[in-house]
Amino acid sequence: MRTRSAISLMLIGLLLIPLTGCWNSRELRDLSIIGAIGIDKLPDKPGYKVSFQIINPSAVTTTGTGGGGGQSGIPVTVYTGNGRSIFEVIRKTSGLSPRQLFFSHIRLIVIGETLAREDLSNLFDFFERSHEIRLTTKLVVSRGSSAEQLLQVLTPLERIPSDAIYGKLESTKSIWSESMITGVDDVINRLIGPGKQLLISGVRILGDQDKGGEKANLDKTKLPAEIEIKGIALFKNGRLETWLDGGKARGALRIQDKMNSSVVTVPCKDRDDPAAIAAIEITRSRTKVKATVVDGEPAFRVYVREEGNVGEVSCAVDLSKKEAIEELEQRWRSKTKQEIREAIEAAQSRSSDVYGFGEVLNRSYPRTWKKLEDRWSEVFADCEIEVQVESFIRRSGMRTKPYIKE
Amino acid sequence: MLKEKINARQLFSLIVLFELGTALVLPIGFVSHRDVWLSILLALIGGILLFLIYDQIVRQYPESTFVGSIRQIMGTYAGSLIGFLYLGFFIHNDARVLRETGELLVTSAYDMTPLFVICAFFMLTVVYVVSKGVEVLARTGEIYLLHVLILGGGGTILILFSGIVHVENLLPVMEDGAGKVLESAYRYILMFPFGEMICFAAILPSLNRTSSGRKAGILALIASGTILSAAHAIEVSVLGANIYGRSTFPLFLAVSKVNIMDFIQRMDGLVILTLIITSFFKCAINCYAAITVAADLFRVREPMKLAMPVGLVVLFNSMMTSNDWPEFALKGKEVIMGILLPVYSVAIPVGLLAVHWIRRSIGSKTL
Repeated sequence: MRTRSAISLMLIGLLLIPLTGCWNSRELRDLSIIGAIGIDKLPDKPGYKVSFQIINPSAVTTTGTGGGGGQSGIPVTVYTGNGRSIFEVIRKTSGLSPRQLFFSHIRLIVIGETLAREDLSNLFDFFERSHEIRLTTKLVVSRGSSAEQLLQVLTPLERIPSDAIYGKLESTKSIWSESMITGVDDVINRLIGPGKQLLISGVRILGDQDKGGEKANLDKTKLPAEIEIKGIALFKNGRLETWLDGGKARGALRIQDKMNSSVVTVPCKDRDDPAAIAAIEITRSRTKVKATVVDGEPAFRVYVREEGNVGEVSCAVDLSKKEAIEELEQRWRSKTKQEIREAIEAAQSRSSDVYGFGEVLNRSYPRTWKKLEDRWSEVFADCEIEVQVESFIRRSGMRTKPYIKE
Repeated sequence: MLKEKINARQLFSLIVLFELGTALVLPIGFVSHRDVWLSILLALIGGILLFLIYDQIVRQYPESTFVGSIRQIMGTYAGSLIGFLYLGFFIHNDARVLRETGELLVTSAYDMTPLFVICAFFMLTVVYVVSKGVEVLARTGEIYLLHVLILGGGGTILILFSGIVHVENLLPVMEDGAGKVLESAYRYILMFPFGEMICFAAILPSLNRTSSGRKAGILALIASGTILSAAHAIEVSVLGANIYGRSTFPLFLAVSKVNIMDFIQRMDGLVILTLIITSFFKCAINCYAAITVAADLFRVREPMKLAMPVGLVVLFNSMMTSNDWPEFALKGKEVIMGILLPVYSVAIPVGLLAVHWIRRSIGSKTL
């Protein structure tokens, strides 16, 4: 009996060891949470310059929502290190950071334009291999400035800049649709996919690049330096070839069926008057891409069906008349067609199948695809791509006829 | 000798949990990534046939254990020899399940924790439950099947609602022809996870009504095959065939992409939980099979006393089986799926049944 209770006591004592908790435990106070990573090319030697935007918890948690108020300090700190591999730099910067860098909450990877123009296809292994980084992390290309400079810019309203950029990406994607959100897994799938080409949204600094990192940046109502989501980078074989802006960017989104909502301005009545326009809000847009093969030659048809409302007119047009609406639909249709044509033209002229036409072909004609796979870039450049658009204007808001008179 | 009994519903739960263990989270099939869902369904047919063979063997001698049946078919000496072979196989297979689970936990979450510590605690729990007997194991299985179904259902709903499923990732079906799909199905998936069902030959004699095993087993296989097929189809459609094929832990990746309204995200914990639950049962069932075979061979009166020694052997075997993950994975593909499973779960059972039938037909003629 006594030995039994002695053994039991010993076992209970042993329990104390595992109950102390996780072997892998890392206390919150020992971690620096990284919001964004920036990667730039080193000027003359191989390797990367990696910047980390680290969230300063005490500055973020203060309850005052004034933004940029004096008492709370700067919400983020940026550390930078150089090295041949990203992983190496991460550990190397421990000499700068008082706490261990923690990667699970990275929202954004920013790639410097110079690096993007060189080659980024071999950049992503670490982001895929590491178990701390999630596939939901998004990518952007910093346009016209280095990734390091971009990460330094302080932002109002949303105190953490990486969250601010992410928020801008989300909102502009859903209401303006000239940029897209690309995750790490999307990039990898595109790099290895049949087309092997990719598109990544651009982000640039508006204003004085050097002022963005100062706290004074938040002390003005009109910021000296602002971050803007601008354009889509078109890549060929991992190299940034050109930027798609405005209508081209919108066309690029339409082809990929990523159009959410946007506003299109079309000439209102007579084409010669640039001031007479009608603004149409796109409320719904679906795109289907179909492949056909005639005599071994692939051809594609992009079919768009879009719906919208009239949001603003600056000329006297009687929108209560069906004919007026139909006329607007007609112009809207040709504008959409033109945007898509331009986007296709941009890709074909650089023989880079960024919109995934190759995948469409592979899905419906795997045998033809097998034959063309090796020289797809050249084949794609000369492919016949037909664009068909159906546009429907459903309603015209709270008024029919505008107050404007001829 | 076998006083403990389980019912058909408990058998059903055990089989489903066993089949989902590790096969749910690992990439399986190897050659037809995009069509893996199809391969699983094709392999399911073979899996059911295999199960029917195991059931037939056990059914011939309702009063004996698995080794008892083998001895009656092959005679005492040859039967014991085959029993020994199965003992080694079950122990090694259990060690592999343990190692696999440990490796996945280390790569995905516990990067600083020594593998041995994770495996030791895992095995300790397995030994504890198994030493309580098959009844306790089966009842635990019933409860946990419900947990796994809730986790799985919840996870599926989250994936569907976050809009990350791209069905076009599954097209074109059979890009490289039906050959690859069949190779995946019958060279690999039939062996893992369906061939591993051989250890249920050691559990079937514990059924309260031996005849109820066939129906419960087939239903369980259909259920788990469908779940596996759907889960892998979702994994491929979320990740794309390439990332799916290259990743060590595709289900984890797929679920980590869940993001609903920036509010429900980082749900990968659910996958770790599912992995631990299902592998626990796979490990426990293999361990139990090894124990009953050992008890039969060495005529141990209280089989469950063997839980600790067998558990220890499994634990150390799991540590010694390979130095690194690539070696482990290669052995699994070449040796286990290439040689051991075909021999132990197809060739020997088919041989046993053939010998039994031949002997019976000769016997009935002479009588």
